[in-house]
Amino acid sequence: MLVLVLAATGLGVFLYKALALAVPILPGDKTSHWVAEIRATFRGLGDPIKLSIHMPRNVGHFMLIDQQFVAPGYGLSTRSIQGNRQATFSIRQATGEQNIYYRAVIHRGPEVGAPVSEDPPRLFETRFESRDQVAAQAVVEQAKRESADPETFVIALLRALGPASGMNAEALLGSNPTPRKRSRLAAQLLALAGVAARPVHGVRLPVQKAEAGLVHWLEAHLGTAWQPFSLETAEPQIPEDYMRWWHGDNPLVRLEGGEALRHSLAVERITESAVQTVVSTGLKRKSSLFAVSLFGLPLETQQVYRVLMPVTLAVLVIVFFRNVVGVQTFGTFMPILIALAFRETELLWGLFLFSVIVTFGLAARFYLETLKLLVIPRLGSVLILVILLMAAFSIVTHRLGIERGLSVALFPMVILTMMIERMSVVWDERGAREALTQAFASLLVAVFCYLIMTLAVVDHLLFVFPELALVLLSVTMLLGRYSGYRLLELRRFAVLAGRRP
Amino acid sequence: MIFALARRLRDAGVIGINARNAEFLLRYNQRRCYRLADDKFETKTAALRAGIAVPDLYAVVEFPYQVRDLPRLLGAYDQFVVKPAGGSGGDGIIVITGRTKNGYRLSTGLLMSPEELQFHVNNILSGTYSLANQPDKALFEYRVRFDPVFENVSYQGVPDVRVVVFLGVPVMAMVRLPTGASKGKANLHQGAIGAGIDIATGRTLTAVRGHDVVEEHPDTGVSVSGLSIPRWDELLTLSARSSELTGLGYQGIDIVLDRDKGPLILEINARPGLSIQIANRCGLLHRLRQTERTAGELAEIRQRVDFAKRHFGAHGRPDEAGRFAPSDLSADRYL
Repeated sequence: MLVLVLAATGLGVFLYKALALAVPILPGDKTSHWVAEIRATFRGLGDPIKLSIHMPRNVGHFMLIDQQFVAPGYGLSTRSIQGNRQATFSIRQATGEQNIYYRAVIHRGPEVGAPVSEDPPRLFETRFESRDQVAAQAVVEQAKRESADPETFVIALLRALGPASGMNAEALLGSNPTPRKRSRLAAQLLALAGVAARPVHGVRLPVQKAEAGLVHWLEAHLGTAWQPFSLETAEPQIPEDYMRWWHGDNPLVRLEGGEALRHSLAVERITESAVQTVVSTGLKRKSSLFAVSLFGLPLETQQVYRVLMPVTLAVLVIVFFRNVVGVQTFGTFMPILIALAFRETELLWGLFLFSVIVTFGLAARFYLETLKLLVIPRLGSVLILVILLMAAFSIVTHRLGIERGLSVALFPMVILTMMIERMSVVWDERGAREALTQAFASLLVAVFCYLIMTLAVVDHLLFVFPELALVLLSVTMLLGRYSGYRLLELRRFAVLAGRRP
Repeated sequence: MIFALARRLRDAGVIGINARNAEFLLRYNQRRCYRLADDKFETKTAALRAGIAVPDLYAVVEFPYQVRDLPRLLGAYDQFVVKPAGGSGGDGIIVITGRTKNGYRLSTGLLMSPEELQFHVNNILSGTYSLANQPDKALFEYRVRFDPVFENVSYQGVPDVRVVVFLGVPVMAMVRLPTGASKGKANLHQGAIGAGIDIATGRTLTAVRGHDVVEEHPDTGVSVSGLSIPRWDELLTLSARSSELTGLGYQGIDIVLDRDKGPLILEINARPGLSIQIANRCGLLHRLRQTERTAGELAEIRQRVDFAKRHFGAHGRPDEAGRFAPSDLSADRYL
């Protein structure tokens, strides 16, 4: 029962995280996110300076993971104005070339939230020259005739301002109609007709390699909420890779007090491990599951658990080897410690070091036997000898220029000492063969544990989904009730099954 | 293939370590009872109190300062056995068969100086041979002079009879004969011979050494099957009785046959090994289950011994493969 609860809990949390939170199951998964950087360069004239930069907010499936401001010496304040977020850098006095950076790290998640902000509808500021006023009215009237409700009205109006625009629209747009101009004009015309609308500016964050840059569209308030409209297609929908940045008439960057302002917006797509992304977005979202996850820990502690969590699987492996296969090892969980040491030394080298130390230690132990020492002092002596051996080994290999030899220091020497002691007792009492068999079995299991613990999948799964350890616990408990034969017993008892051994 | 083998073993009633632990030790042996079996000193004092026959205890050494007193403590004895109270598998046992001018003579024929003996005792005290290296006691006791029946089938050491007693019923027995390879120790995994015993008659059946079936003792060349264990009924009664001593439901009782004193309890094992199944060429499970079913009706020691003799004997001759068919199992079940 308890086993079921444990297994169900572990699997449940695992599945929830894997499916609902889209935590990747395989370590190789990479996701993309984008770094959008605004760089503003201007010259200070020795007067007070105020530089405002529009910042994006979490919108639609885009999420801000991180923001950085680089403006040495400037004071920084952020505020919201009519649904726009703005950062203002200010300084009492600045001369010469100034550089200010704003950087946003943006992640694109699977969920689709409200694509626009929730602020109340407001008519866009409209002031037409009298000459334009007539043309504007004409365009509005035309669109009104071709529409049935506010939505189709917006669509009709955007069509009218599109590439195949009529005379009136052309007159309003001027000789060089940029998308920005078009969105502004559309908002103005809609205001004329009493529809709240505004030009919206965003960046394109392409998944595939494609040009990224500022894009513009329109948002109209259709009674209940703001609705985006594409300028190109006039549809009430914008491409998925458009991220809203700010709206309104104001420029992205505005400077007061300096001169020669130039600004650029650069978007770069970077790839990192998917886990990192999910975790940083999760932490951002204050998801309680992430709050209790290992990712909330300081990086150094995380490293410790990266090593420790796979041990839970190694424990299961040991239980399996001992109770189902029937392998005898020195010390129940000693192979895990050896395997942990192998992690640092790497396998072959670790095996070599281990054999050398145990061999020398055993020789020393046999010599000590002739001195008739009491047990604890003898154990102590072996321990000291083991440490000296390790030191000597490190020195020799260092002299020879083999830096790997230094990693010998990572072996758990107390465990090695106990192993040497037990091995020598077994050697005395049961013979060399038994001792060597058990030592070999211990090493074999250790190697197996090592191979399992170093599998990238295991490492990833258990670290990212620590709840899987509950599943391991339940399996271990189940094995605790396994009363079948051990694999090696089958050979031992084979004679009883009517077969010649 | 593995599963077929496992199924045949299961049909034959062979139990493995997991089954022994899960179905019998954990179920019938209470933790607090283990101490009495694991500590030979406790076993011995309890046995003496209950009037159960054990080898005489000459001396106990518990603290290192007592080691210097050894010559005085042992002055009266020429022959004795030193064993760790918490030892397992026969480790750490030394048999002294006599004294020389400046030391002891071991059963192996080697000599041991008093200093070496003291060193050995010190090792025992500091836990070299005990489980988990706990501090231990060293026992000095009567050296059994084994019954002449074993004269030709054992090499050095003392042969003993291991009886698995379940709920007070002697379920299976074997005699363990030391060999040169086992260095005089009566432990199967050290190379001693194990010969199954017909519970009904006390006669030895086939014998095994390691994984091999053997007919003769490798050192003496004398056949080891067909031996009659003397005072068999007495031995069975002793084992049935002593099971009450520890309160353990499932235990292995090691009994030696002394030339003069008859069967003596050497030690009680709370986790008896499973090799006895190989020596008897018969699985334990069916016998254990049968005992489990009827044990409630068997209050008296007599009844339990009779029950065992009636059901767990190996009547008849060995078949062409050299195996005996136990009476309580149909031939097809016993492959």
